[in-house]
Parts: sequence; structure tokens; C-alpha cells
Amino acid sequence: MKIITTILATLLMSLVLCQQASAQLDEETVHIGFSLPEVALMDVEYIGNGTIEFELSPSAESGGSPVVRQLTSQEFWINYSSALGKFSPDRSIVAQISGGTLPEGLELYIQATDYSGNGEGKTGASVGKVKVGSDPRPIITGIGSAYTGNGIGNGHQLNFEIDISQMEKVSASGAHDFTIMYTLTDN
Amino acid sequence: MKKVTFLLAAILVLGVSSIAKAQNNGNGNGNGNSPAQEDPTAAHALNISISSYSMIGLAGSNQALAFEASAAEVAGDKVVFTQSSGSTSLWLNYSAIAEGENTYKVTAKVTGDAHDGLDVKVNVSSASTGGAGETGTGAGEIILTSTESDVVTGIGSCYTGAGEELGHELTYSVSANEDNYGDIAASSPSLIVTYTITDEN
Repeated sequence: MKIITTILATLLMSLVLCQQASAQLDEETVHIGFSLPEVALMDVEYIGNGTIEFELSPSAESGGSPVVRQLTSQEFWINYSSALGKFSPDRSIVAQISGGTLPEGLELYIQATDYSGNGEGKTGASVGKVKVGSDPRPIITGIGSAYTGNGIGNGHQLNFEIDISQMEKVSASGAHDFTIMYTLTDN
Repeated sequence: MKKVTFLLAAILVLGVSSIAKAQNNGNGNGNGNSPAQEDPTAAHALNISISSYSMIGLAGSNQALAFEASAAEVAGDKVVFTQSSGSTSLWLNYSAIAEGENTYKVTAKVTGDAHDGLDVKVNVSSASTGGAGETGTGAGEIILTSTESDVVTGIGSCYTGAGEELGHELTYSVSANEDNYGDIAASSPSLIVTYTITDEN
């Protein structure tokens, strides 16, 4: 692909320059301009049905705390492409709960791993374990001009944890469905 | 000069091609082909399921308790019982998740041989530290009978911790019932105390 691109580019530029050279014999300069717009693209890649399922189960013995079990073993990866302007600040990825609410007494934590994969550039760094609520909270910061590579195994893997913060507020309330939204943002 | 310019032009065109490729690589679901190059959000679903449950247990190294009546030392005194074996304290442990404002309670009853004229008592303490949530209220000292008696009430979603020194301390005693003192017979009754956690509402 690179070879074809090189040949095509060289031929194209040769044609342009030959025409200019024949028309303007006293000129030998070529002005080439191109623009690269700022890019902010992000996606969540996953194996499975794209839904993370947790369940509160009784402890093994009377008196023990409930056990929070993740029912499905899935991998979630954040991929992104970012091209920044010369003076633009680094970007972050924020996470928030939308389209539903966390059951009372529980807390949701998300931890992104540090970058790994086939990308290049100034990829971001994990903030570590972050408590996520309805307000956006950064989970990855310091993203410059970079791309992570596409698909599972590229970018930052996401790990999820449910903690019981207020046992007395936990209620047998059945199934709670909500959405985790991620945004690649400019600050 | 022209050769240098050609090379420079080729390099620049290649550079643009590489950047465009990089943008495509970093996105799933075809986002990298978007000419707008602005799609900075993504989402996925999360589900949490919480069901009600309650469970109860007793902790104590020796849960077979024995009491013996000591003969009165002075004529005219009443009979007195002292614990001769078994743990002096047992511990009531429980875990529960309640639905909404509903609560659970723990009841106790005795079954077994007749023990007329004698009161079998248990003192139920308040919950110890070491657990979490809405633990219940201990009833204090009550006389156990063959019908269910409430020993802990108002249990919400909670856990007491599992093991000795956790939950509610149970201290047993046996004494003569002075109103029915005449029913006391020389015997060796054997009793079983059963604790049950159940819906309170």
C-alpha cells in the first residue's frame, strides 16, 4: 500500500511540476499545502453482549457480608484516535452513569489499564480506580495526538467493581439496568 | 533543486496518508472512516441484580450447655442452677438483604422434655461491632417457651459478622419459677432451643 501511495504521489507531483516547469521557465518553486483537521474519535470494543452483569449473592456463612459477583467474563477496551491542534491542551476520557441510576448503597468503580496495543503517539495514562456517578469523572488523561489501534487488545482495558458503601440502604430491588457513557473531551 | 522538491512533495503526501491511516486504525465500528472525524462518545450497558435473602447461625465452641441444680446449703433456701458445661456465651450471627422498608426478626423456642417449674432464660445483647447495616435490636432477657418468642427485631439489610464475639451475645440461665415451684421434679430434661429468622412485616 505504501509503495502504491508513493508511486502515485510521485507521479502526481511530477505531472504538476512538469506543467509548471514548461509554462513558467523562470519559476522553480512548488507550494504545497494540506490541512489536518483535529480528530476526536473514540469507541468501546468488547467481547460478549456488551452488558456487564453483577449480582449480590449471600455469603457462604451466616453473618458474612454479601458477595458481589460479576456474572459474565467479558473484556472491554477503549480505542481512540486523537489529533490535536498545535496549542490545544491534552484530552481526557471521562466516564459517567447515564440512562439509569446505581442502586442505593452501592458504588461503581472503573479502572482503566495503562495503554497497550498497536497504536502510536501520545496515548493517555490511567487515572487508576475511579468512583463513577452521574457526573463525568476522568478515567484516562494526558491524551495528545495518538491512535490506539482498533479492537480488543488495543487501547485501555476497562475493569469494573461494585462495592457496598452503605449496607443498610441496600434493598432487594431486583434488576437495575443503566448505561455507562464515555466521552473523549478536550480538557 | 527540482529533485529535492519532488522528494519533499512525495514525503508530504505520504505523511498525510499515514495520518489518515492512523485515524482509521483507532476506531471500531467504522468510526475511523467518518469524514467529520468527531465522534467522541461511546457507551455500554451495566446490570446489577439484588435479591432478598436471610440466613442465621450460632457461634460458640461448645453449644451443648448443661445446668445442674445445687442442693440448698441451708434449709429453707430455694434450689439454684449453675452451668456445668458448654460455652458460657453463644453468638447469634445473621445476614440479610431486605426488600424496601421490610424487616426481619429472629424468634426462639424450646422443644424437648418437660421442665415444669423451671424457667429457661436467654439474655440477648445488642449487636456487636464488626458488622454493617441495619442490625436488629436484642430483646434482653426473656423466658424461652415452646411458642416462638421474638429475640431480635428490626433487622434490615445487614450482616453481623460471622463467629464468636460478633452479632448478639446469648447468655443462658435456668432458675426455679417461684409461682410453680411445686411442679419441680427431680429429673434430667433435655431441651433444644431453635432460632429462626423470618419476615417481620
